[in-house]
Amino acid sequence: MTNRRQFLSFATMSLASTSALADSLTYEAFHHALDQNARLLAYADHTGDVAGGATVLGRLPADLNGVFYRNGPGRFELGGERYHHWFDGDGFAQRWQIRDGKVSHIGRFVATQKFEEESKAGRFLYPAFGTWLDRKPLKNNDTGNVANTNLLPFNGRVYALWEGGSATEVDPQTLATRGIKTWRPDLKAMPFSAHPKMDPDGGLWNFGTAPGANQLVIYRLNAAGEVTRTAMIPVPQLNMVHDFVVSGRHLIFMVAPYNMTNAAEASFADRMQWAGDKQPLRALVISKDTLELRQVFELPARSVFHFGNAYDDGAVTRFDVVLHEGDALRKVGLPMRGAPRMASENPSSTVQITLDYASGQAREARLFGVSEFPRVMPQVVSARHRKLLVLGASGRELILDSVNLIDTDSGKTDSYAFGPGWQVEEHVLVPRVPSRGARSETDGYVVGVAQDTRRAQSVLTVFDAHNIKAGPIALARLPYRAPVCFHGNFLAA
Amino acid sequence: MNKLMLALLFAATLPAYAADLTIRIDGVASADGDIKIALYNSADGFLSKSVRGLQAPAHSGTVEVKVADLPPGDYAFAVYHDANGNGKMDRNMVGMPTEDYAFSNNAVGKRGAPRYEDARIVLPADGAVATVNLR
Repeated sequence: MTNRRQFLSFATMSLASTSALADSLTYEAFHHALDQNARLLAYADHTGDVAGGATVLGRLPADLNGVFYRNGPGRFELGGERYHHWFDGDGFAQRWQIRDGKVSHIGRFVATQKFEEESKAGRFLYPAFGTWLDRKPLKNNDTGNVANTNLLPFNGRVYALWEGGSATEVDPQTLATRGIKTWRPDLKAMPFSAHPKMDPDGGLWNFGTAPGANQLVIYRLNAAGEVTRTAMIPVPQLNMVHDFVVSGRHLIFMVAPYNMTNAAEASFADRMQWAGDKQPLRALVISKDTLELRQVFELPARSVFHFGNAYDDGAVTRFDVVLHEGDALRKVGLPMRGAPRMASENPSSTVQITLDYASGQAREARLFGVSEFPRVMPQVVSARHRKLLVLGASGRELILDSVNLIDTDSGKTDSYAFGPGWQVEEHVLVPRVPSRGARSETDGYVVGVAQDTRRAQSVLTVFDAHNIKAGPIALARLPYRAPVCFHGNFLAA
Repeated sequence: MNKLMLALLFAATLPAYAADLTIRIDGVASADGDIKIALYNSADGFLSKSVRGLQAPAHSGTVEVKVADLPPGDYAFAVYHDANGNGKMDRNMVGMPTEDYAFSNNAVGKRGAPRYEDARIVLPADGAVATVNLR
């Protein structure tokens, strides 16, 4: 019914109202809730640089040496106002150094144009992903670049990634901001996703998609960071695409059923209108050799963020992905106001999908319940993999609190639950030595960060990849809490 | 009317064509290439038919260009830093400008160039200074 839809769209508009008054209401609501619920610390604002040494409990393996780079939203509040969406926060880059059994940590904000201008002004100026502001207009994608989603070591450099604009280069030792990275002059200020996929030859595949553009841009970089191939693929009704997956011969994207509205004074998130009752979830398969669309598959409507890995298997391609029932994007705003998210609302699950080119059908097999942040061992990316690492949420509230290594052949899971008060961040698989050729996917470690919200401390965790249920073999506790990160990568020394 | 009075009448109208518009361009990133300016005086001609075109060598910081002897009235201008000196605004793969640019009033469009109304400035008979920022 038209009236109901209009009412709903007004309701969502008022939830993310444009006025400063609503932003200070978000601020008050959050701080009131935080006083009573320390678990909300994960969404608390952060200011300033941090640096410290961690206290190691347990034993760090002698052959685990390197840097764990991570990135996430760190600034949510300025001038008494608070952002509405978790994805809005300005990037706070972090670096955990593991060397000779010791762990040290630094973190600092990425000095983007937006961060510097808004810090100087003492208030938010530019529109953010989920919060509309129009004190200053966006001149191009990089004017509003928050550089907050991933931190990627590549070709001897380190890049803070944010899907709406360019990569931002930071110093690998100090994390000082070096500036916007333009890979090639005709690619200036173009969106460069936060989820590139490393190729076995040392290069990478990535993509970009701009709001309302209906164009999917593909980038192929070689190991020296040179752009060797690009393509623009028209995709009808394209909206937010956060991640993708790469097999030996294909690039696979999933586009959730949202319509982009042209609402004038609305943030990007608010312009995404869920259309799952009418439209399917699409899987787009692009051939690597032609960089053209090979086939589109339709699946029952769900929303999607992250993928595991893909491989071609005869006449099919198989891949894992975490799918969310309904519109999962909007609920990410709830904890920003201090309201809990329940695991039963828009529940996610990890599934393995098989794309059958001959029949045009997609088949699904469920691998795990409420979960997110899938990762695989780096040496199996785009090849046949058998282990998938995901985080799980064991309680009624949607708090990720377990680490789970799924055997994708048998469906068996090797799991560890952290217990109450813990909020677990993305964990990654680290091979025992930089490997070439066949090596067991459990020959190595699982490394991550978990927030001990009871003690307000950030903790680096290390597991033996072949025995997750035994629990961490080492914990490195910082004497302080650093902002929660979305994504990161381990660079072996 | 005798010839002396006609001459005096004409002399009295001359200052109306001598307004100077000084354009200050802040945020110039380098000394490479030139700053190029296109001046428009109507919504119809905005971005298609300029009434004046000028350029000045670029240098870091602020570049000032004086547009002399203009009739007073409404104007808008577009400025860009042609850093590689190829005489045109370079664009990326999706058509967005990759060289620094600005419009009068630092006006910004929703999807591309701003509207003439947002970029419009008024030039009075005794001149004006208009400042824009390329960043």
